[in-house]
Amino acid sequence: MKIFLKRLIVFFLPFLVLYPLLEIKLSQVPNYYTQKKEYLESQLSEIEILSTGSSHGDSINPQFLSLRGFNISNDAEDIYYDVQVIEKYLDRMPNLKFIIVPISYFSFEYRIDHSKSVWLAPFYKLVWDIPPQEFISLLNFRYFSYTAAYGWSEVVSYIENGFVSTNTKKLYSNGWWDRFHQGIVDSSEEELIGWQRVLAAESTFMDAGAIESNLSLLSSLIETCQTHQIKIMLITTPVYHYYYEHLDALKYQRMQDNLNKLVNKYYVPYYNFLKDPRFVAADFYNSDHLNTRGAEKFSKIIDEEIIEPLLALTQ
Amino acid sequence: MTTNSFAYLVFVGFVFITFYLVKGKYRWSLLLLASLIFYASQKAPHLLLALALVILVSYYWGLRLKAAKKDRKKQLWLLSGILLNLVFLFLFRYLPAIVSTTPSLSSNPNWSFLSGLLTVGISFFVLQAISYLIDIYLEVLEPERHLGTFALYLSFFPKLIQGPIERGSDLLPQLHRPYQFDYQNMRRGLWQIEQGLFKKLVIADRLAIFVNAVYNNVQTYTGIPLIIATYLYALQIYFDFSAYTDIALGVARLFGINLTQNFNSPYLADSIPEFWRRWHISFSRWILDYIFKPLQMFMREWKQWGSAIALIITFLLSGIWHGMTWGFIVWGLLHGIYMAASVFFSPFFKKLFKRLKLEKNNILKVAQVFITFNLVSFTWIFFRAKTLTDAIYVVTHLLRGIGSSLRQLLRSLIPQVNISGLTKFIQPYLLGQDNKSILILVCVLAVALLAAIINARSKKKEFPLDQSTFIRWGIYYLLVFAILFLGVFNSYQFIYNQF
Repeated sequence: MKIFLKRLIVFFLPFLVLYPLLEIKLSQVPNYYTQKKEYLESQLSEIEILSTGSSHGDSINPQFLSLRGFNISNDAEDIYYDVQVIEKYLDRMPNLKFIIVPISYFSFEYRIDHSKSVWLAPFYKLVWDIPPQEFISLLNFRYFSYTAAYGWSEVVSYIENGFVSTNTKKLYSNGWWDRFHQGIVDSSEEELIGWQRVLAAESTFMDAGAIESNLSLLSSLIETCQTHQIKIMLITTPVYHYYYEHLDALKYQRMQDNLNKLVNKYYVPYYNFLKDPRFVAADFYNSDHLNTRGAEKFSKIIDEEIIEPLLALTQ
Repeated sequence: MTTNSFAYLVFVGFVFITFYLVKGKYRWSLLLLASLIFYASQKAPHLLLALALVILVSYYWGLRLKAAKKDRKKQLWLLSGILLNLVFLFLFRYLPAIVSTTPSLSSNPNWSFLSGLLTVGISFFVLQAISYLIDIYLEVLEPERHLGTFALYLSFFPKLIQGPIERGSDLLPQLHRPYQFDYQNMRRGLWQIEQGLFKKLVIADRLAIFVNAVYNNVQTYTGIPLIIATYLYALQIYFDFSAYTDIALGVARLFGINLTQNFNSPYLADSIPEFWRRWHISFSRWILDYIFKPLQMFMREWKQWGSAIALIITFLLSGIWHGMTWGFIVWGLLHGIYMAASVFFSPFFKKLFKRLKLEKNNILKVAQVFITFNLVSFTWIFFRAKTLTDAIYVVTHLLRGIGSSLRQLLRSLIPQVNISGLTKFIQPYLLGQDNKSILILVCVLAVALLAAIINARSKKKEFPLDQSTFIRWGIYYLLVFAILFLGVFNSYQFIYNQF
């Protein structure tokens, strides 16, 4: 047995040596999380307004806000990670005055670790050092290893291409992603896609069981911000009518009721742009995401109708 | 946790270390616990319930069967034991499948909870339990008196999901034998696991890419692509299933257990009966011993016709065992018809070849192997196609356009090789895959063929274990790097997981 074990160790020795080197190389490959973190940390002391959220949060382009802004939203990000990222840097942002928290149709009923996007959660641990919402998830090796987090197929691609980043989206220094420029076209196909997107949300990642924990997290963030005299505003970003016409009325009402609980308890402002008629097909790249033009329009509207009046009040 | 996952390898490693460190008398309980944990990792609690029911019923029934003095009582215990196991098989395996495929049931709130339920492993350990009871009845096996050992016999994790279907006389004595570390066995076990992973991740899952491109959209293909995809599926299912078996046997060896060899170069068979002596051996032995032989005995007065009908029924049931769809039923029926035909034609051809002195003729042998392979590949159409309609489409469109394809090929070769013409000719038959993928596939298949030839020619059939350290380790590393860099890691499950 001893001889067997010795030979086994010798056999695996090259892999034991190569593995840490692989981890180091993978940790150095820029990904969307590392890039955003780098930009954020380089301007913490200057940031006056933060916007967070999932991919819907990309509707806000800080370039068009009158205050120095940063967008810390990420695809598939849930309220837990919104709150954790903000709280991690709150004390290092002395000039922070406002935080915009986009609340989408699914936000209160969504948790990344209960969805198909769970594979993204390890990157919060690896890049931001934010543990998963459920402690037991730490038993999953993916939270400690880039190799496991990326998945072996992706790692092989990185090895083959010389560990070059595969990022395709352009990230600006204000944290905003430049996604798509094209707009959608009014058609029955687009309407079907809009309906399917609502259905996909409702059947694959919306779970009423997540409401309580998400409300608790958001309440905690609001209380913390109020202690720091930072104004939080809750916003529902615009979607095209192909999307909002297919929302489940009961689920939507539940979302509104939960928002009203927060508004009434903490006197936080809530702005609902879901069905705003100023947004047309050309502003969206799909039925629930604004494109570059739509984000500019929306950001300017927020700045003119919300930020500037609030600023005027405080001065 | 699938048996081709990194998590499974870590699990096996952990179980082995614990197994080695634990005292001998507790080893059975450790293996049993590991088996239950492995089954629980499938995230389907109803499977553990099914396993528990089959274990408890078969254990108790086995003891009662032995204790019964009168033949009538023995028969009652046997039949009731078999019936109960079949009821469990129906409830946990077939009923969820029926509900899933019946819209009126799957949308009914009283039945919908059954829809989509996982059913892995049940078909295998129920057959094993039934063989256990029958062997006790036939007095070729003593019932296992230790419940824990019996539970381990049915649930031993390396073979739990896809077999082999172990006979009590083969596995139970090994579970009682004290474990002794055997360095050679460890080497063989690890080599077998490595081979299994190579077959699954590098060959079978790569073949799946090509096969799925066609069989998931058959209506968009005719002629040669259908033929290519069918042949590739024949290879895919062999490499996939034999890979699982290699991993199962390899892992079992680490614990000092020798499981039944399930494959023996099946596509080198020169007849359908020979194919079934080489393919899924534990299953074909099971159906022949426990279904065919009793039926043949029952119909012995009909002589050859009795054997033929018994074979058709046996293989029809084997098709149903795989699944309650027309595709599997037709697949089973075809094999039954092939086997029945061999009952009548085999003696005739044997005499003819003897008279013509062709028994040892190599060309005849190659022709027989070729014909057998094609007969088997034809049945795989029904096994793989998503629906019977798709299967019929494939069958009726296999040869469509072959004539014009061959003319096109000849035009690009004669009077001189026209590269662009040849490329244009080949393009549709690449099944939408790029040149790199095809090159890798051709290379790995060539390596597999070379390995099969080397092993067939090697007297001890131990290649490369009987080679020098340099060659051995070179091959081990080559295979590991092939798995890492050529493996397809997008979680194709083992094909026989669904049965």
